[in-house]
Amino acid sequence: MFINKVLKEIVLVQQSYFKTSLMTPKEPTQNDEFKVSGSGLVHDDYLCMSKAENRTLEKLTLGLGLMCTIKPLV
Amino acid sequence: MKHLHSLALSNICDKYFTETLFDMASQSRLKSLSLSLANEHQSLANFSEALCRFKALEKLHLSKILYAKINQPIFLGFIVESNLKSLSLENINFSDQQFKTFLEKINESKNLREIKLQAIYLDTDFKLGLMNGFMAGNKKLAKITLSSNMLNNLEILS
Repeated sequence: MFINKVLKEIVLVQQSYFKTSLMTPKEPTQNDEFKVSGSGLVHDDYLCMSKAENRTLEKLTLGLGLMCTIKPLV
Repeated sequence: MKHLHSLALSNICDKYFTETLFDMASQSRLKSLSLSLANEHQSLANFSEALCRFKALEKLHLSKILYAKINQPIFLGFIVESNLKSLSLENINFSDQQFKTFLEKINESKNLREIKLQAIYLDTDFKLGLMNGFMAGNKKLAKITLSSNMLNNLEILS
């Protein structure tokens, strides 16, 4: 896609990919019971990323192949 | 209302809607039109034909249009031939073949600079492949917005 030099702006919002990357498995506590479905942890076992590391930007920039162009804003 | 430039109608539920659309087209200076239907049972007879009457239209947003109900060749012809610069489609179900034809016509348009596809599900590998090729190959569009397309990865950007 990077051969397309006319396209100036791509906006990707509200995608399932971002939603799953914004969720992270909840760490079990002593009082919690593990709920495991056939495919692994069930949806209810996920917490919002506010309590976890956000890897969306990393995934997105890797997807775009832009990592080499990002400079630290110091 | 000879100087009306923009018109947005939402939750449309009127069996005489397309007749009204023909009347609206008399607003010769209308540049922006947004139409959102209330449900899929809305009659869309002559919808595409009415749309073609909007000669000055530059920005069009359509939501919840049952694509199978409209005259697709006329609708796509309008996209190619009109002065539309911005096209936004929301909540429209395309089959694989319909989506292929749609993107082909977008490629043929000389005036379109911006396209937004919202809640249009790229739920098959065929559609994803088409969209990927389209984004790489289109030499006219300056902005593409994809929203709520059920993308599970970013391969579409590869």
